[in-house]
Amino acid sequence: MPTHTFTDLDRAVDALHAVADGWNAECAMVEALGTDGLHVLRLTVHEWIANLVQHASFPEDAEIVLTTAVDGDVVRCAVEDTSSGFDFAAQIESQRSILDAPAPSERGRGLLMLVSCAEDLDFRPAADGVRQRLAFSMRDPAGGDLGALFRPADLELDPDLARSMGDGHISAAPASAPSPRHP
Amino acid sequence: MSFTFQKASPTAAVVRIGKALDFRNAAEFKAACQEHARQGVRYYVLDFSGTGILDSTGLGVIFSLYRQLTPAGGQVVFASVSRPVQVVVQLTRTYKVFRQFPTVEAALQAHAAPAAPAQIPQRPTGTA
Repeated sequence: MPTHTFTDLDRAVDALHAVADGWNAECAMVEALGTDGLHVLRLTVHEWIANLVQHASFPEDAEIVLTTAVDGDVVRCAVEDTSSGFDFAAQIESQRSILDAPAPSERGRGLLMLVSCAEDLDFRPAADGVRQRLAFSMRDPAGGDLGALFRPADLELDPDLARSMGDGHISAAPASAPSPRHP
Repeated sequence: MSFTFQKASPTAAVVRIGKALDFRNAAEFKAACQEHARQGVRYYVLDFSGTGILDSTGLGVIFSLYRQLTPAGGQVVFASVSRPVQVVVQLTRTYKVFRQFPTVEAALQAHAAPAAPAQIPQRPTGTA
């Protein structure tokens, strides 16, 4: 069960991506999630660590521990950290509330992205009662449908785009795209 | 991981995103785009070749730029979209909003050339 520890918050995201680059060489990870699924897993963990780096309070030395394990066609991921924790559910509701705001913020969708991509999401104090622990599973097709992260009006089809289909644009829904997962 | 701007014309700019557009450089990206908008740029080609991460904050500032530009007839388009970014585009359905081009050159040509009128297929004349 590969485990990676990040102690420098300024470098944690870069360190995460160095770890994620290695996933492409792990046969079990590739077989479980596929390359698109690995991109989604990378993004999901990125969003969580970004949340910790930007918003978490670390009373003492910061430590983030990432663990991944392949279980058949599922990858189980856990991130433990030494922060003082927060009200996850309340923060999710707060992020949901901004989606319909007249001028939605460009920030504050990271947790929604994480929740949409991950399965069996669980956030609670770790076994030692001190650390915080986020755990989730991911499978291939690994993506959720994140369309709700932006206002429906923003996602209405651009009329010019509709008229110009076929002039060299990449098609709107390539066959190789990950399938949305219905909640 | 820093992005770079290149003016293609008085009203068009290519932004090479680089390895990542995320919470670490999103504010800087937004400020740079706004400065170019003040200088008259209305057409932004975001070059995602080699981009490994586009997170929710990065996508958020792109949407912010889009909302700022489109009322004045501006556009934000994607070019050379890497697979990691394509995954995000598909998941968030932002392909409905942002045109994608296979290359930066194609994106700039689309901006420079007016849209061609629809071609009506001609019935072949004569017989074999």
